[in-house]
Amino acid sequence: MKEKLSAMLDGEVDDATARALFIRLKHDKAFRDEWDAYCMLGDLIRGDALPGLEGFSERVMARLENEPTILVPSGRKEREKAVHHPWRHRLLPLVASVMGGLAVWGVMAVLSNDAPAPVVASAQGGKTPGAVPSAQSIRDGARHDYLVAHQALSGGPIPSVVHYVRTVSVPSEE
Amino acid sequence: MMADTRPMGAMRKWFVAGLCVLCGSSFADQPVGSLAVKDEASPPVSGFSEADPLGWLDRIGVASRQLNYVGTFSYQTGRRIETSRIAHRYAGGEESERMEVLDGSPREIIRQGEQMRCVLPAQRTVIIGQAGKRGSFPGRLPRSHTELTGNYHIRLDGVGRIAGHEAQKLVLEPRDELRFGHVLWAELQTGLLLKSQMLDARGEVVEQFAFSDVRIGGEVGDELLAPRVKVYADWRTVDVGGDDEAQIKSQWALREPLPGFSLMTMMRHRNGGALQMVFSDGLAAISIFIEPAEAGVEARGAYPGGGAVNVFERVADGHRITVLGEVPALLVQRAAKAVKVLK
Repeated sequence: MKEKLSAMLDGEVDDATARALFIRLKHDKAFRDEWDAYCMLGDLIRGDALPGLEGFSERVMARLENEPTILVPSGRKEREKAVHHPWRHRLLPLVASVMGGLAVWGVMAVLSNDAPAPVVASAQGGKTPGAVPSAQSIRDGARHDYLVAHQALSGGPIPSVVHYVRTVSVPSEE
Repeated sequence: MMADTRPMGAMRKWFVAGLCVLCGSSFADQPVGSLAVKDEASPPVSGFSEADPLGWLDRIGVASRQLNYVGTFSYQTGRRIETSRIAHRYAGGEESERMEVLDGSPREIIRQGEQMRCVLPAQRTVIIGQAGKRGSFPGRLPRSHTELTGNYHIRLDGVGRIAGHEAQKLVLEPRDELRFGHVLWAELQTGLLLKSQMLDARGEVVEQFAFSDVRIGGEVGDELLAPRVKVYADWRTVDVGGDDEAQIKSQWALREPLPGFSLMTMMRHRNGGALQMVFSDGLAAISIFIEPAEAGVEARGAYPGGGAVNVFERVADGHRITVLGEVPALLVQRAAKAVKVLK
């Protein structure tokens, strides 16, 4: 049902389903709470900030940019959901970390059942799996350094700093 | 496109032919960097024969260092394309540059003289080092072009148009499978490199740089060179600078020489970092990094390093040996396996 509620917010349900959801909203308080949580999250993301939350969207986007890659694979089910509503799942840990213990914590509690496991771990205040140093990530970092050191000494027909495009280019973003 | 029309047998014949040609080359003794410019804003003096491809290579190198230019270029590797903005100024004998990747997170590279700073916001990392200490093209080329022409067949291939400028096309075809081919387009009046392609043995483009717009000459203000990406105090800073190890006899050697490549420099990175050896064939280069292997970590073997860069990693004698460079995978593997410790 939560999934349908989420889909309705995204305008992805037909009229009959929407009607059924509204009827349930009218009679089911817990369901209404979920609806409110989704709406609040949507408001935050769109920048319709609660008092004192000006610039929230910008901060979230900045955090998204810097969010470490989650190394622990999520289950298939969670992946499918993430594809369906990618913004919500990606923002979940950020909302928690940016907002701290504000009202969004309530949103987290409501949504945590749908969130992929590593994301929930982050939302609960721990480090994301991607932030935990691993031998692999350390070594990737070392290779990065190697590339820069190599390009400082190797030359080639390409003008100086353009060489470093290889170092800072897409693969390092992945 | 290029190498596919030249089977390996033909390449070997070219190698012999190239050596013969070299004997009569009037450019063999030409000092590198002899094409000086009059002042910062003017293009390099055209005191060379426009029909000579080696003269063009010299000119490209001088132009990229000694011209002012501002432009936007794309970097393409595989199916990926990224756009970057670059500003370059040459004043008082010193280069200043700023480059920013415009797609994705705003990665920025700042160069002031030999000091280079590379900011990677997504990794919360700043890499500092020395740029172009010995690496600027053609400064690192051999004093003669013997090595270069021994490894590549170099020819001019007409004039094209890149980013609105007329450009001389140069083709450098490898004489064996240990290096990539290159196609360069240099702005006709100044020699500034406007487009560069690296090609594999099948003639496929491995990576490409190309200006989409560029202003050559004129003033390049401080605002175009100033850092813009904010760096936070808790970001990791990595210093990839090092000290020359030329005077220290290395305990490492190669079992067999790398055809066409010779040792250019050796460096010991700071804070107990890796030993780096750079080998070059006059155009392409590989670096061999050697450092104590971490316990419990296995070598990864061969893997791509992004764009034209290939990497090969192995562990030997308790050390991790990593070889990388803008060369085919075959060469980095051969180099890594050739490294041995002197007993």
